Amino acid sequence: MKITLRGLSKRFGSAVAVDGLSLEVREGELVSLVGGSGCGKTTTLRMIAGFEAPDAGEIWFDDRLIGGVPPRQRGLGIVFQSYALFPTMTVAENIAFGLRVARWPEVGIRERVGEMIELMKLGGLERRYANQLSGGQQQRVALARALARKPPALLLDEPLSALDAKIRLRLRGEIRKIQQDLGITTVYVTHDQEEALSIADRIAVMRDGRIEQIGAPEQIYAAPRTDFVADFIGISNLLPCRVVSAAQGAVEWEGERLRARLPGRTDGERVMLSVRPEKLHLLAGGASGSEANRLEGVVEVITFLGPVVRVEVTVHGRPLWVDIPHAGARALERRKPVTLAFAADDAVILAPSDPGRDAIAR
Amino acid sequence: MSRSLTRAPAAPWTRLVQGELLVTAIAAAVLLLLGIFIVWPMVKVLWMSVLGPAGLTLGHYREFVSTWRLFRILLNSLAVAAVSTVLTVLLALVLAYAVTRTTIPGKRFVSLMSLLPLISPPFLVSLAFILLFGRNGVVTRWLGLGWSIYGFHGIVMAQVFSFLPQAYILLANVLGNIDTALEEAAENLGAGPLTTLWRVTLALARPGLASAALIVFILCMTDFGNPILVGGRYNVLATEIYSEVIGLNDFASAATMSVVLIVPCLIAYLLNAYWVGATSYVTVSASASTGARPTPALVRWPLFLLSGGIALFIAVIYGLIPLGSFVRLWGSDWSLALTHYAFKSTAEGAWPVWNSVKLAAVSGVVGTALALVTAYVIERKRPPGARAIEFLSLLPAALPGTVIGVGYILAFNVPPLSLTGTLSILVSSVVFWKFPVAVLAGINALKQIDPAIEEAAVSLGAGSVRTFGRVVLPLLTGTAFSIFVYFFINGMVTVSAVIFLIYPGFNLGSVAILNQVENGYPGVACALGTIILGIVIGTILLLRALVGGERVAILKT
Repeated sequence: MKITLRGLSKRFGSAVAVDGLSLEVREGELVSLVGGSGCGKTTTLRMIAGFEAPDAGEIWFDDRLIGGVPPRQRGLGIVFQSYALFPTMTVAENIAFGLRVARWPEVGIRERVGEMIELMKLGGLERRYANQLSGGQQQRVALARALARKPPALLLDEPLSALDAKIRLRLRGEIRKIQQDLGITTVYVTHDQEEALSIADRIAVMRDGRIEQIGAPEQIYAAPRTDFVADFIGISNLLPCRVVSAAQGAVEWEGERLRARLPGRTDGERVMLSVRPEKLHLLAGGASGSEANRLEGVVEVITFLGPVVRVEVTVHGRPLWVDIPHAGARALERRKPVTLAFAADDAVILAPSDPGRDAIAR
Repeated sequence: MSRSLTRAPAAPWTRLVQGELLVTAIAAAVLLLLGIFIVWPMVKVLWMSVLGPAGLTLGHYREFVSTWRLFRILLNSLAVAAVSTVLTVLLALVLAYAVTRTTIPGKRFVSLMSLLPLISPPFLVSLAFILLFGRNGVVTRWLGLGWSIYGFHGIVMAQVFSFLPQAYILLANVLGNIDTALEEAAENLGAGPLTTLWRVTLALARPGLASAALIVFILCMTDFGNPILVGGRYNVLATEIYSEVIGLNDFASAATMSVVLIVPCLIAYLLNAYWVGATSYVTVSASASTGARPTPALVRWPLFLLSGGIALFIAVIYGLIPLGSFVRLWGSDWSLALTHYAFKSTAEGAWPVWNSVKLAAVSGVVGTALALVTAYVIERKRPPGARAIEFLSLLPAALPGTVIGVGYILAFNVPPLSLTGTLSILVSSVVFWKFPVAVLAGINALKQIDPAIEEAAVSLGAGSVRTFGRVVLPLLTGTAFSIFVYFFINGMVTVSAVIFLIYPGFNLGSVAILNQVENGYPGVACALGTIILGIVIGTILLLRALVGGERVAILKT
């Protein structure tokens, strides 16, 4: 089923939660709504579910307008942040609840519950109550309960936020696998950009009730359209620059001349240059490289991150992050001067989404 | 999806059962009931107080204010309530502090004894005081005093021990939730124990103290059982209203005094609900550590003696009731006998007690169902009129039982709803007078339930009725039993409202106790009191055994 949102708006008192949002979730696609708290992602989900009525705009399921259809008749599978398992029912009873409501025959219910138990690897827990399950198991039950009725679409509201990091990683892989196996249209709300990147077909980055950018994870990561997206998705070094010559691809930052691709920019324009930490290189001891851009700085902090080492280098009083392999980090020392380098192609030029933010942007 | 969306529109009656129409209908029904059983009787009282022989008049009020004999009664009520309130709150504060913030021994006993008066007829305290300090009282006789309990001081003493639990529970809750880190921080900053107690602990408890004082003030103003037993010639409004109706059949005068009595109660109620409620400090946080800290011996032992003494005294009071029922003639013949349990002093025998059980059980079932539905409508459904339902549900907390009694006679003695002389008028007086605590308990329990659980049920296709019945109600069983116990206890022990509403052939146990004391048979009164206490405690223990101990709580007024 395709879900289409058109010009959706919702206010709570004087606060605008969702502001003219439009979105199309294609058949079988997993779209992740991601953003900070208060960006309107959960409100959007709740409007699709029918728990909140939009002040303006339309919600379509395929070619049906879902105006005043009450939530219980929308037939969607929903997984809540708190799981919301019925505490007085067993695992099996929880999963069977929706089927009972839909008056499935008892044989069919038993069969379907068995299928879901197997799909979610819940064997042996059928007779347990929610408070006798681990967080990860509760999450599986919640998913099983939501999927038991074979809903045409699945809504997940921060489904993994209450779990430990390890279980979170494993479950997110499982959710993705099941979603793809079933080919079920899914809207996935999360505040965790890494989770969104790893699970979604497309990511909608939300801010102040609007979608700031929507696209495939690779696209959002490699080509963020605004400094907000660049900063929110992954980690970016953001340098507020001025275009010196659009034709020659030259900008100026803190008196330094830097190279970047500048199609469609005009000379003198203020832009934001974004470069990912893994795209920056450290040139130790005067080593040369092919990169067009060079910056001199001083090592400030060295942080071990597991697969890489993140080095904070102060350049012109600003911290820039560089990710380097372990081997390169051994020679580094605090307060020692280093040279940073990056290719012109690795610099992404963004329009500052809000001129006032230049001052605080990193 | 297409199946559920495109199917033929449901028949109107199914939509009615499934949809919001049902909620609206239930809300309207609840509002109607509150209107009939709370608003209408009060309107009748107000109407009666301004109705003169020739149309509307303020003559009754003018007479009340200008007649010293009458105005004096108001002053009496205020004086008794003020003194009782101060003493009750002070004692409760000591007990609550001792139990929650110190390491004195015997805390469980102190706590248990502080709660005991909650489950007994309030005037059993008076009865015990009569056995101790009455004209034939043990202490009076033994010391050869010319003094007796009857009068101002008697009412105060009885009220302090009757209403201690309400204040104790509230203050124990407030003090028990204060983060000990605050006290530790104060001491770390150099404050001594007294400074810490005064500037930190008690400062945080101040809204709780104000709340306890206002609640106890209302209880004392509206108290009927204690003044009628030990008041002697010291009249208060609650008892005088009774005399005007039963003795003189003067409803105009009774209605006027009712309005005069309601005013201070309502002021105290509104102050508590809208002023104190808004100023309370919330110090509870997930990481807060609460509980006792090491107490200096200089504080510990005086506190222990004081709180232990009070607890012991309460134990003695309640021990005296069964004892009094087994002594042949209190004050002169101390031999033990079961003669009082023959109930020869009254033609009714012990029947009033069984009537009480009937009233208590019916009130319990009806009240619990109504309170839970009302709480659900208020807390979760919020249909139009929800605020009115909430306000009216909680209002009776400010209404004196005597006034309810007068109002019910005025409202239901005549068609269209002539209910006097039936069990239903007694049941509705108990249910609606005691509605606030029950509804609040329901609301609080619902607030503990994650709203997403109901949304989950709805998203799986369940309607309002199924969501409430299959998902919400099973989560409320403990609360439901607690509310049932609350109504049951009140059905067993209440006097002030029902004393107007009992009818020939249907006396109640609690009223029979009063009759027996007035007729000079304290032993029989004790026997009735013992049976009532036994039934109440037995019922609580039985339900706890059936449902699981901690889930059946004793709700406070």
